[in-house]
Amino acid sequence: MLNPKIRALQDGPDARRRLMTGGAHYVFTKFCDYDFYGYAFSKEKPILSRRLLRRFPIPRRQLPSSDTVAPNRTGHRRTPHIRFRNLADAGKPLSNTCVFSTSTAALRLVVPGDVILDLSSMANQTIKLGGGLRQDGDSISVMKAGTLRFTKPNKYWVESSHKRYVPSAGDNVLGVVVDTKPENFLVDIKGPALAFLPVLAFEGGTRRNIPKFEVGTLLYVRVVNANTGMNPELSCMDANGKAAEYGVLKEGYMFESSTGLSRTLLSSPPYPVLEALGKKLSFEIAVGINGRFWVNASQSSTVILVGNAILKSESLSLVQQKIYLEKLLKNIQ
Amino acid sequence: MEYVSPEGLRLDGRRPLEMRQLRAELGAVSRADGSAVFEMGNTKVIAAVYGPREVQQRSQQLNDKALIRCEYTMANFSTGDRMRKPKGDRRSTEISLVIRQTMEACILTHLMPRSQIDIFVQVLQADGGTRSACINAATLALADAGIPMRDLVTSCSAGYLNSTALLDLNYVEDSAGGPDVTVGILPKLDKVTLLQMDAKLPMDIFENVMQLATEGCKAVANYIREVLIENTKQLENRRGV
Repeated sequence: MLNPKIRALQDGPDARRRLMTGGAHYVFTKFCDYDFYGYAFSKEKPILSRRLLRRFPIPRRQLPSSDTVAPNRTGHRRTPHIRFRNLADAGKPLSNTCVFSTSTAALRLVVPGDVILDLSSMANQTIKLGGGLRQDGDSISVMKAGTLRFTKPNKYWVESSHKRYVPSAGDNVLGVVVDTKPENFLVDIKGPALAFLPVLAFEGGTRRNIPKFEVGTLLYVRVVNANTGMNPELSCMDANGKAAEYGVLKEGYMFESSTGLSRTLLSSPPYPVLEALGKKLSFEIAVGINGRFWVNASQSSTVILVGNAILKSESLSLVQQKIYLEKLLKNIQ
Repeated sequence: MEYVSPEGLRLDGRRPLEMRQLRAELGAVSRADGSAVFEMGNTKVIAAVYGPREVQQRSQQLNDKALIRCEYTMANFSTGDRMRKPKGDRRSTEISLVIRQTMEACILTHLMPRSQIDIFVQVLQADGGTRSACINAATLALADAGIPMRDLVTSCSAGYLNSTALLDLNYVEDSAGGPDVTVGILPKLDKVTLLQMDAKLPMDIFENVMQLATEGCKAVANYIREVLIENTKQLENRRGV
């Protein structure tokens, strides 16, 4: 289910806005400027335009440290009402509405077992939990190592980087076709189970024109359904039934990385490495939140260069990245 | 034989309540979803985690929770005299089972039904306390793989020799034939998930020794926590957040 606000945005006449919500599909031109490509629709850094990005101070007092949390007490206090979303991968937004809130704050680094909130000491309020958190009686505890993040007014989740991806509805991912069945294509999206892509989930898809995908075809797809105990369901259409930018990625090369790197590549303002490369080179990149990205360019040497630069930049600090890129780009000329 | 000198020092120079040096490293196996190397003194263990992934043998699939498999092996070069042991002997089967059960207690298996998680641990250097080191390495590897866990399970052993309680036995002390108490705990929840002893001890002394091992577990838990937080910090720095 899409939030009505998002749907309104997608239906809107503004083409640039549509690009923003259409997923991360940058197209770099030789002398690209900010205006030449849309901003990525990144969920944990929800930004409509760069100017809207603001950070708010962290409300410390709402977070009792784990040491001060009292053990389960049986009182007559009403426990706060909690709404759970699926306990999916870290760094997932808590609900689609958080897209429109612009304050995201990193609270602290956590490891499994940490208690972040004591419900018995809180007033009757609703809090929303995202990936990596769970309710255990009267306390909210962490189940993954990472950074605890908070969005006003009441959303908490843990963000971390992993090699494996946990599917969540609404994600744009890169999948590889593994098998073809009469009703579905079986697609590997690095998740715990193979995903199903119905043969009719294409723009104007009918029984007559079922696309033919060979095993190994790379697709840019959207996760429609991701429930535990079921194979996730994919689609090659956006919410309006348009092909948008989904579909086969021809030529180019796919690189495997971590979910954390994918999220940085999709972040806004754009990842400095991408920006620097985009100023010198002309290439196309599609990023799947499942820890895969695809690069295409007219020359294969560019593809290799861009892919390697991005992969290497993951293990470098900001300053090191800058030096590395300067060196790299000097050699090109 | 004298295991604690009159000055109160053990054979390797430690005091009775002293642990060996800990060292841990994340991401040691590039192909695995999560991996770690864990060292307790001269004991060195490598662990790799694969999954959650599709169950390989359909008959083993569980519809309400994840299937956890664990394999413990000792490298041929891990002990003093190089020996060729058949894979899957009694001892390693037992330790595999122990590690699997300890890990099942802390992994939230119900969140990943119909999937499988494989844990492979291999002893690279054996100097006593391999069981504890394997559990600690497996915890780190699971945390690296991002598998949801109740708590970080940690383990440590303690023994009783020359009427002294000793923390974290090494190989010489371990093979002295005295009691060896291996404890695994969930430190934040304060629950015991593993307790093994292969000798007899009077009740009051046993309590002391177990208390000592539990304290050791908490020290290991603090260290593992630091390692994980340091790892997250590095990832954050690289991204410039």
